[in-house]
Amino acid sequence: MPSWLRRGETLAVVMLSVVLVAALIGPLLSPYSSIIPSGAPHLPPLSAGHLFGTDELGLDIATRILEGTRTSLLTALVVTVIAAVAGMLIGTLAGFVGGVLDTVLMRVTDLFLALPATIVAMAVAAGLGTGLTSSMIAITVVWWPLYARLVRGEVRRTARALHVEAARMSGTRGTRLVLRHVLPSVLPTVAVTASLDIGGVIVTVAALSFVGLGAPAPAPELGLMASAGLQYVVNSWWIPVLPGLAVGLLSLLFNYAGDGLRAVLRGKGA
Amino acid sequence: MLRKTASAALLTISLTLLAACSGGGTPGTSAAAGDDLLKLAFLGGVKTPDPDTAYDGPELNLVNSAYEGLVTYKSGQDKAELTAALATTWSADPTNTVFTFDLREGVTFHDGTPFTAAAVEKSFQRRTDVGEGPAYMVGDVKSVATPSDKQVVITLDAPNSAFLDLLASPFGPKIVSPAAIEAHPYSADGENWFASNDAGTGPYRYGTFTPDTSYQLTAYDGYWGAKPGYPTVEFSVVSSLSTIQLQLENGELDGLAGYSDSTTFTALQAKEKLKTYQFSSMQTPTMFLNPKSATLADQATRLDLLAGVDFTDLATKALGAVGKPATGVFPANLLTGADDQQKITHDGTKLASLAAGSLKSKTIKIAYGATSADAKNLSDNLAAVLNAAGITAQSTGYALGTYFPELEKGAAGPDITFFAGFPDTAHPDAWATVFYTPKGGLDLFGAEVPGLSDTLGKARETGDQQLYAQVASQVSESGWWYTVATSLGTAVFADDVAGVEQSYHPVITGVLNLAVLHPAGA
Repeated sequence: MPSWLRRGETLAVVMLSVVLVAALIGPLLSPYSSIIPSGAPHLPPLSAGHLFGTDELGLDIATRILEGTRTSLLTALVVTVIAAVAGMLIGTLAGFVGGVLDTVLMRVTDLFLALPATIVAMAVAAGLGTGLTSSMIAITVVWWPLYARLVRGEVRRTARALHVEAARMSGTRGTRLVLRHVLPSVLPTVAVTASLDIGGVIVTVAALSFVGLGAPAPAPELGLMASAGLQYVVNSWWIPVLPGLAVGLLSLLFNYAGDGLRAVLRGKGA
Repeated sequence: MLRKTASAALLTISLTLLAACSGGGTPGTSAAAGDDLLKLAFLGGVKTPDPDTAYDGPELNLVNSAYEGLVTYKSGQDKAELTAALATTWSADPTNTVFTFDLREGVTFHDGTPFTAAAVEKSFQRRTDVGEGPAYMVGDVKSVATPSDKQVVITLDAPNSAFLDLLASPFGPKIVSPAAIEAHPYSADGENWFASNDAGTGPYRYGTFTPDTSYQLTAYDGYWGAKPGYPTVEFSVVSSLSTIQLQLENGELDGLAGYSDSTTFTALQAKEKLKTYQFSSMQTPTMFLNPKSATLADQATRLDLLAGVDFTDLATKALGAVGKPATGVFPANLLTGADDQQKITHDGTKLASLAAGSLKSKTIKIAYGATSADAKNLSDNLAAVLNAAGITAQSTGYALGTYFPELEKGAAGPDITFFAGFPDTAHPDAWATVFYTPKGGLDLFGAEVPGLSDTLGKARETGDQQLYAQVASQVSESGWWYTVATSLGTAVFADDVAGVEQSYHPVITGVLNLAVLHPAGA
C-alpha cells in the first residue's frame, strides 16, 4: 500500500468497488422484481428467501435497495458530470477572459451560491413535476456554481504559471492555450472535487425523493423507500431503516474514496 | 467539503438509527391520571372547534361533547338510528317540507342561560351567516317558527327526505346560546371567540385550549343528562402515529380514537393492558376513474380493468385490520343489500388481455392524498397488482394543497384516484349527490352519468329506496366509480377504560361519544 493512501481509504475503495459491482449486476442476479410483490408483507430480515425482508407490499427489500443504489449512482454520476462540465465552461470563460464577462458570470454564480441549494432544488423539482429527470435537472441547477468558482480560481492561478507564460510567448493563444496548457492543470482538482461531491449528490437525490419529488412508487428509489416506510418504523423497522442506511453508507464510501483519490493525486504531485 | 459531507452522511445514518430506536417518546411525561382524567391524542392537530366551521372530523370529539343538536344518532350501533337530543319528539309532514320539534325542558347553556325555542332560530342563522362548509345543511330552511318556548316548526323551501338526517349529522347544526352569539359575532377576519370557548348544552365544556398542543374538556355540572364518566378529558396533539403507539404502550395515553393503520392496530392488539376495538362506519374508500383519461375514457377498457382487479383481495391486503371489502355501491348500512349491488363481476383473465391489448405500453397513473393511509395503501397495492399483470402503473401521493388541483388537470392528470370519504350523514342522498354528481363537491374527476342527477332529485324528495337502488346500478355500470371497501373505525384504550363499545359513531370514524366512557368498575 502506498504511504499516501491510508488504510481507511483503501477499505472504502474496496467496499465501494463491491457496492458498485453489486449495484450493477445484483439486480440481474436477484430472482425477484423490484416492483412486483414476491413474499408476504412485513417479513423481517433474514427471512427465507429475503435477506433484508419485505416491505408493506411484500416487495423484496434487498432487490429494491440494489436497484435503488444503481439508480442513485447513475443519477449522481450524471448530475456531477453535467454540473462539473457546465461549471468548468463558465469558470474557464470567466477566469481566462476576465473583465466584464468575469464580473457578470461570477455575480450570477454568487447568486446561486448564496441560495440554500437543497431548498432551491426542491423548488425547481416541484416546478418541473415529480420524476427522476426533474430531480436531476433540479440538482444540476444548484450544483454547477461550486465548480464555476473553483475552476475560475484555478484558471486564473494557472494562467500566471511559467509553463503557460512560455506557451503564450511561443505564440499559443486562445482556445488552444486553454485546452493544452491551462485545463490539464485544472482537471485533477475538478476530478477530486467531483469524486467528493457524488456522496452529496446521492444524499440530495434521496432527500428530493424522500419528500415526494422523485420518481413515483413503486420506483425503487432509496429516499422514497425510506419515506414510505417511515410509518412502520416502530413495528417493522427494517422497511425505512435499511434504505436510509444504504444512502448513508453510499455517501460515506464516496467521501472516503474521494479522499483517497485526492491523496493519490497529491502523492503523484498533482 | 469532505468533512462537511461526511458529517452529513454520518448524521443520516445516526438519525436513521435513532428513528428506529427511539420512536419519539416524550421523556418525563407523566402517566395517565386514573379515574379523574382521560388522556387521549389527536394525530397532528385539529381544525377550529367552532360548531359552525368544524367540517373535518377529529375536532368533532370536542364540538360534539360541548354542543348538541335537536336530534342525533344513537352511538354504539352500526345502523344509524335517530334519537332525541334537545328535541324530545319530532314529526315531518307528508311532503317532507315542514318539521315540528318539541324541545327538552330544564336545559341550560354553559353560560347559564336557559335553552328555549329562540335559540334554534339564532343558531341556524349563525350557521348561515358563518357560511362555511356545513352551512348547506340549513341552506334549504325557509323559516323557523317558534309557537312556544318549547316548540319549533321548521319549513323548507323544497321537500327533503334527508333533512332530519342532516340535523342528526355529526356535522349538523348545533344549538348555541343566543347570548353568546350576540356577544361574540362571527367575523371571518377577526379573532373567533368560539375557537377556544363554547356556549353549548353538552356534557362537557371547553377547558384550556392550547391550539396544536392540547385541548381539555371539563364536565358541565348543569348537564341535563347522565353525568360523564370522566370529569376531565385531555387531548394532546402528537405528530406521529409511532409516538402515539409508544405512549399507549407505556401508559402515557389512555386511548386513541381512529388514526390507526393496520400495522399499528395489529401490533397494539397484542399488547397487555390495552384493548382494541373495531367498529362499522360509513367511511367508504372509493376508486375514481378519470373520464378525460386517454387510457380509461373507453368504457370497455374501463369495465375490463374493474373486472380484472380482485377488489376483495385488494381491500383485504391494503386495509388489513382497519377495513373490509365492500359488496355494494353505497356506504354500509345505507341501503338494503338487495338494493345495493355492484354490477361488475371479477374475471381474473381481463388484466392479461388489457396488458396485451388496449393498455399495452401505456402507464396508469394512480393518485392519492398523502394524508390518507387507506388511500395510499390501496393505491400502492393496485399499482403492484397492475404491474404484476404486465400493465405499467405508478402510485403517487400528493400533499393536501396539490391533490385536488392535480385531479383537475383533466387528460394531464392521474387516471385513477382513491379517496376514503364518508357521507355527512346517514342518508343515501348525502353520499350520492356529493360523490356522483359534478355539483356535489367530491365527484373528484367530474364524471357524470346522464339522468343521474334527476333521479337523485326525485329520490331526495321522497326518500324512495328503489330510486337509490337505480342510482347504485347506474353508478356501477358506468365504471367511473368503484366502491372498494368499508373502513372500520378503530379505537385502542387502556383496559381500565370502559364504555368504548357504546361510544362509536355509526357514520364517521375517529369520533366517540366521550360522555359514555367511564373507568372500568365505576
